[in-house]
Amino acid sequence: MSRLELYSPEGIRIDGRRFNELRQFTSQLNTHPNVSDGSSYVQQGNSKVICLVQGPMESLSNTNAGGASKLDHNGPILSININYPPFANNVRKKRMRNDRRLQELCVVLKRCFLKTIVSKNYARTVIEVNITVLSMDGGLLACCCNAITLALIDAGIALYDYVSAISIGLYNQIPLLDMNTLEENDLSFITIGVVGDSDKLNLVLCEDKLPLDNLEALISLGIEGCHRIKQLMDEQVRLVGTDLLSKKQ
Amino acid sequence: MVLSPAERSYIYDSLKSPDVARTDSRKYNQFRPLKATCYFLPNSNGSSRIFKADSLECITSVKANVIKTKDLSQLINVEVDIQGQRDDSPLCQDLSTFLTKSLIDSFDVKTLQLTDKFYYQLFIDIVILSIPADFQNSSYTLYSLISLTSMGTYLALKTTRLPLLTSSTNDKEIEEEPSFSDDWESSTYLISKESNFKPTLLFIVGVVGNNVIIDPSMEEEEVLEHGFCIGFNNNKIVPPVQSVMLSTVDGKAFSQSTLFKAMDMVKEIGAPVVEALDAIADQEFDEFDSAF
Repeated sequence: MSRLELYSPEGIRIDGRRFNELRQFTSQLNTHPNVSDGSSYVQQGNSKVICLVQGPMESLSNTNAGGASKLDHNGPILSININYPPFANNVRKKRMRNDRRLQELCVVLKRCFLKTIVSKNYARTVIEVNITVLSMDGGLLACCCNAITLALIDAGIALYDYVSAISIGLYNQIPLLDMNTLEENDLSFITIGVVGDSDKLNLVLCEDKLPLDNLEALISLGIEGCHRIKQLMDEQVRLVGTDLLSKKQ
Repeated sequence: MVLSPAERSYIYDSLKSPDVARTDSRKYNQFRPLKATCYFLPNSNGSSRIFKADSLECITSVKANVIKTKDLSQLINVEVDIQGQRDDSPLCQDLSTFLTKSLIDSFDVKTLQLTDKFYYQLFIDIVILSIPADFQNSSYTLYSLISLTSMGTYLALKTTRLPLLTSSTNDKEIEEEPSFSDDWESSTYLISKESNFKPTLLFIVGVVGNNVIIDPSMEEEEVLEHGFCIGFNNNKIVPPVQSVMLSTVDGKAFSQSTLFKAMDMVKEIGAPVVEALDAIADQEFDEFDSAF
């Protein structure tokens, strides 16, 4: 057990939040208009992530091998790539390009977004998503998922609804929303992604052991958190949208 | 972009003409607009983001570590990572060595000295966010990134802050590990505002005929005959002065006079560039403001 007091008897967490409070969430759309079709920047507490989306396009931009034969007749080919530079964590650590954990996260995200993108509109196309993690303080998968949602919206790719994700941890029967690194190191947690304002989960990932009887409490708190994040993202999208519209006239 | 023979010869001839007509109507010694911000990575000691209008973007982080050596080649480590390129690709490796060498050549060891035995080791990590989509099909190389990355490194080093040392600096006789203050408010700059030391800046100069141009754009790079990488520090030309291949076609030899012409131009524009970068580094940024 850690020497840090992760949750005080008064119900205050290590960074001063209550159990059901999110960290500061800031997002930005269309940050890199010249290099990508859609781009976004998401900041959750001290975690900062940039996402660039290319596509829909006919073939992968940087692989010569990706010919027409590889294209899918029923939907888009989604390629997700997470770039995790050595400086993102507090302690500098170099990661291999084919780091297994990152590849697993890519697969989870890919499955989630293939169900979220209106795939019949994008038959025989490629959508390429590049994520760069600038600084990580917990909630890697959640940040990436939120950033991809925003970048896809910015790219004008049709989605059924927002997918907003959050991590929830368990401390002695008490669920903690939106964990930071210190909490993630010591507690087991689960990341969920919720579709829009519904209770449908499009993404669930749990890499630790969790008692099954607490799972329901975790997920219901998580869904609340996701709805809040969806609201914040929606506000930002509408802000950028009205701004764009006013420039066109 | 791939240029047609007619386009190539048009651009080539206009660059070669005595009044140096550039494609974007810049002067021969004028940079494209650059934007930069600093202090936005909470997990790093120093950080900068610098980007051009044509979408090349470079994010630099400086992290410090304490070790017991005074060998500069161990104290300064530069790593360049270009999105979509392998870590061991010649471009990444060349950029890293260029920057490492230029920094080591002029770095003031005193700024890195912590106590009699201990020194700061700096890890400078550079991420190039995206490269132009047509890079594979075109003849330009991305060596013009050298100047962007060196400016990014300059800003990141200038804005590097280190925690305040609370133990004594004199540990020659006593066996003592350095200890630091917990208070980030009392942190000090790696390069103090009073110090004269400045990291070396690298400039990329393109050569066409007898003309030299600074900061060549992609179209211009396609027709360049040659390129130089020139170091600048404290109003002087410093090593490395090196030739770089800015495009893979039409390489020609250069004359001595063009080399001197290029060095004169760098001398002339170096000071205003340093001044502009210092002004950016002196600005107050909030870590929690979004830099994007």
